[in-house]
Amino acid sequence: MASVFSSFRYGYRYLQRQAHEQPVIFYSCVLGLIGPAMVMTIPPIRRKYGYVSPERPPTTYPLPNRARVPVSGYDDE
Amino acid sequence: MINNNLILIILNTLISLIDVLLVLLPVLLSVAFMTIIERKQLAAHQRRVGPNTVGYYGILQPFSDALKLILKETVIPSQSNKILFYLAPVSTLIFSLLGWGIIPFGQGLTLFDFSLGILYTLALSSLGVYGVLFAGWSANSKYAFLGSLRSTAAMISYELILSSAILIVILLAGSFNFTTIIESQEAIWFVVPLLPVFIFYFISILAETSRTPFDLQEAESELVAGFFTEHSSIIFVFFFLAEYSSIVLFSCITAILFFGGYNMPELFVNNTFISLQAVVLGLKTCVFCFMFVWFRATLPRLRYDQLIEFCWLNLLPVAVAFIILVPCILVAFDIAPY
Repeated sequence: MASVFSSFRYGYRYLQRQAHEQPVIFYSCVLGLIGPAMVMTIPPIRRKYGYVSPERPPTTYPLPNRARVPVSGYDDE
Repeated sequence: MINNNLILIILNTLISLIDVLLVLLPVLLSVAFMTIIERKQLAAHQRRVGPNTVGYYGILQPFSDALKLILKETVIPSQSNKILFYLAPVSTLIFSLLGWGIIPFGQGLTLFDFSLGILYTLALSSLGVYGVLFAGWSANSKYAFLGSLRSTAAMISYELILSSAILIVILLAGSFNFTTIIESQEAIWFVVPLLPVFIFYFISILAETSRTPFDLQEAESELVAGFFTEHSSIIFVFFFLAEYSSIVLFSCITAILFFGGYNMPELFVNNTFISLQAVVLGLKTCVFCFMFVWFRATLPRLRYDQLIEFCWLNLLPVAVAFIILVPCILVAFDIAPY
């Protein structure tokens, strides 16, 4: 009689067999899957331990905190 | 006014020509000496003396070889396509020499600081396939044709791995420009975080340049000499120069992509007014040239099915895995350079 764990056991055995039969494909998949797993798990953990993302470097000068004064008195007017 | 403009144009053209010559002459000399270095090093690996008669320690041997080949009779097969037969070696040599145009030998010391330098290099290495294909087909010989088909298949296959490895370096540096890639390695050389990538990159450049253990297209025991079986005399010299120029060029690109290019390790500080950047790049290039010959002296030749299987079933999955892993690490740790 199949127990609750039997499907997990068969899955584990399948992986074990693949790791033995096609090690390059198997470990490439493992390596490739570690990446998205890191993207999902690491940022929340870092935020939890106090990491704050750095500010984006400015790509333009900041706007002055006053009304704009129209310039005058130049030659090219 | 018109005269002044004309003089300016002529002067600019002359200066550009001198610039190109300043790069090309040392490159061609280094290619010539690469041949004697290879023979001497192979001899050392096999406990022989190697060429030691022409000049001191046989140092003039490449010039003697060149003279011999130039003075030989050019034999052209009567049924060959003569235009392509001549065009193939010329195009191969030109494409392998054009790559030197964007190599930075020091800070600002480059013929052209191209913002898309890596794409240019990859495009040129792809165009090199045409020379091989034309040479094999135009000769109208079974041996040359088989050799060229094998070469083409191997070069196209391994170019995929080469591009993948370079793509990972681009992801880390955030630029296609060689100078930016070198500058972004000031803190640490890319070979440290990307050691597995460097390994499959080096395997792929061995295959790209048709060197041992991937030189079965030139297997002298079965195919005479591969795609240039029918080429003799000066047109053979062109193929020879192209092959060794590619070896030196790829060694230089390896030093730039993974070993900090012209930057010295931070352990050594140059406080003098003499710039040693070009010398540093040259020394790093020499290390990889040594490795090319070292592999030739050590490894046996692969079988053709092993060559293709190794590329598509072993290297490609690993390369794809790293293409996914590296950007994911950059995003996860918030360290992407863009």
